[in-house]
Amino acid sequence: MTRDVAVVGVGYSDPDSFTDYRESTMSKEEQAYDAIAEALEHGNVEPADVDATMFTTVDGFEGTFRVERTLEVLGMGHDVPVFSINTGGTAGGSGVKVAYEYIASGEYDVAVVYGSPTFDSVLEGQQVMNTAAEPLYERHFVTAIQMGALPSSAYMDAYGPTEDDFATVAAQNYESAALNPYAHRNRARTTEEILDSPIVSWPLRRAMTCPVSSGSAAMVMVSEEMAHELRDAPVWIDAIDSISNTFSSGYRTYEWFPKLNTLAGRVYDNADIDDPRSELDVAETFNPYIPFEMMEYEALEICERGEAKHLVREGATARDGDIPFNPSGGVLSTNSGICASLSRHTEIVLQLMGEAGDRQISGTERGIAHSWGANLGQFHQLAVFSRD
Amino acid sequence: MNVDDVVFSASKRAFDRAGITREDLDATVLTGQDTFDGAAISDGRKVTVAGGYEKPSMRIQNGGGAAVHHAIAKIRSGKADIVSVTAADTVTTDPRLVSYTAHEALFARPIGQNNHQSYGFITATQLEERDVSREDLAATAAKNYAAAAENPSAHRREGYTQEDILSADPVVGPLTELMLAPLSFGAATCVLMSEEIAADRVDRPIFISGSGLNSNRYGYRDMETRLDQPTLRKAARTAYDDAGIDADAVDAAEIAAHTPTFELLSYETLGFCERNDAATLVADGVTASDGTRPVNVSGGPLATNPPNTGGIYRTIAAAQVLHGDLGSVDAETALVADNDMHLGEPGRTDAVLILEEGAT
Repeated sequence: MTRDVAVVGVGYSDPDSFTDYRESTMSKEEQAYDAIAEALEHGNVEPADVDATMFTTVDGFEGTFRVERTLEVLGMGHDVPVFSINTGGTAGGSGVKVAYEYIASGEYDVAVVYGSPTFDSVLEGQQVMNTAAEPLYERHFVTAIQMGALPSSAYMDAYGPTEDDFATVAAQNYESAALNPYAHRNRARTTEEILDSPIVSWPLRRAMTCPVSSGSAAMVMVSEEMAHELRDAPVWIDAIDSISNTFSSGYRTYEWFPKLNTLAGRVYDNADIDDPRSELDVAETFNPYIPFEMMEYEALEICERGEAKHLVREGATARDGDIPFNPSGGVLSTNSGICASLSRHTEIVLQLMGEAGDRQISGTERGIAHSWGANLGQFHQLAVFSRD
Repeated sequence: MNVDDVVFSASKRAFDRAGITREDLDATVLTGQDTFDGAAISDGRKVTVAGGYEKPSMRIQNGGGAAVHHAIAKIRSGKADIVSVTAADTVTTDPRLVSYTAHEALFARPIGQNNHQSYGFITATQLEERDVSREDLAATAAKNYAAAAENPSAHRREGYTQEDILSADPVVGPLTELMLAPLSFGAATCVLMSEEIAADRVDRPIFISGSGLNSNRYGYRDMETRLDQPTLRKAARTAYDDAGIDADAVDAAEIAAHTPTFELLSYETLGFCERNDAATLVADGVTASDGTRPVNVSGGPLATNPPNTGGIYRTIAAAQVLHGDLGSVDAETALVADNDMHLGEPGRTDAVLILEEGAT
């Protein structure tokens, strides 16, 4: 049995909750409750109609282990499964994929995927994050910033994008974030300002790397039959999949994302996409380190390998370009942990519904959501969404 | 052996027995929890040695039964034909401390709630509300240890007697050390295939004809209601309906009973007996390995309790019982009742699978 699967509702916690995780005044439960309540209302779905929930997380960051066991955000009794899904930074996308497969199988009709702020319970997540790396050789030098810097510097050496190019892409994201009430860093920044920020790990400057944010997101997914009852214009999931790389990073290639390229080939095939640049209208990708966004243009076949710098210089991926990337401001602006992974998907849904407010891109009919995670980006996840 | 060794050997053995190679695999599903692995995003290390390089992978943290439940949906959705489900345990930890951090932070942790404490609460309530004595609990545990003594894949194989169990060190409430599951190591993999592929490739496939899954809300309220295990009851109802059977059709069962308390309660919840008759099933030998409806022929969690791997271990044991490779009963239908109660009873997720030999 294979059924089409649609998204009928998305929700976020209060805009004020999308802030520095240390300054958030709302608990994990409050934020998750707000996001789920908004998503259910948006999708015209009653809590009693929910068949299953998918909580997306990285346990080590949460402080409470298997925290979803103690979250009562849906007011559940004993008859709603709560799936706990942890695949690192891709967990938000993994939650969408698990819900998709359950609904497509006929097992469930209505599923809620949600992520509450991941970093709110630890004072310093770096030591926790380090444990994701291979313990004998890699754990000693691979920290979050090295995960960003190693591929970024290799990419720079191989294909010649400049610091100016990186600053241009970052500025595009900040310009969009200024239009997004759910962005953490919500002030536009110039390329000069970005280039003036201190180096954190070459070639990454402070303003080219993401903050650590709070905030929660939720998405209501339903079967094809229910979608038509609940909403005039649901958003459909045309294809969704993930891919795994080696665990030991010594076997990897750093100057581009070959596994994302393999995954994109599979997902585009399933969605009947031949020319992604012309057939896609909008993309939300994982860009906590801004050179990643350019590497993703290439792996996602928006341009040839090494050509992303020309795309940037033409403005093709800016808000007014022919293939806008990260019109939410991306993870660069708002990094609420696994919620940020799910938010790539919720943002594409809002864009396709035409409900993205000031950050809306006009004429969007098809878009992609991508997430990246685990040790040095061991996992990629990619979904294609469309509207009728 | 380290985690790479055990995951590789379990996966390779499962692939060989299923007649597949890594290339045949469409996806891999992992189950397990970071804190029992001592590493964040710990599925990353396991996925490649489990055959998942360049494949889609997923990690469901609710246990092996839930992971199998998800793999079934993946196949039923038409998104995969061959899926492996894998878990491993190689890290020494203190499950009481780990489970403490899984409890509610404001009220439950300050009074020291952990897995053992939650079992103690339920057991004390059971002794008050049901016709069950400490001797019955010990007899149930002894039945599991007797079964484990005959299972080469079990951890505790000493065959502890009812007297050993009652005289073991007290731990919490009515429970002694030998009424509580140990921390075990190991790895396990099972391979699931669509019906069409299995018919072509496997001589004696075991079919999963039904499955159900539910989660409970966290809390220590309504202890008497908790004895009824409503999440397990509903998961079992779904699985029975899915398989088109009722409890009478179940010939054997593997139940994730981390204390004998839950095995006896589950007899009632799963429909194997009426309320207050559970201890009689043990006393009469009905659920012994050579009984008419054996439960935990593997020895159950009291004998073997790898926290990440337990659900897959139980699923494999049920399949072994159906194949006649474990125990001595002639069974056609087996039930697996798995859960994540190694972390404690509140907030539990229950998964029920119905396995049948030769069913379609």
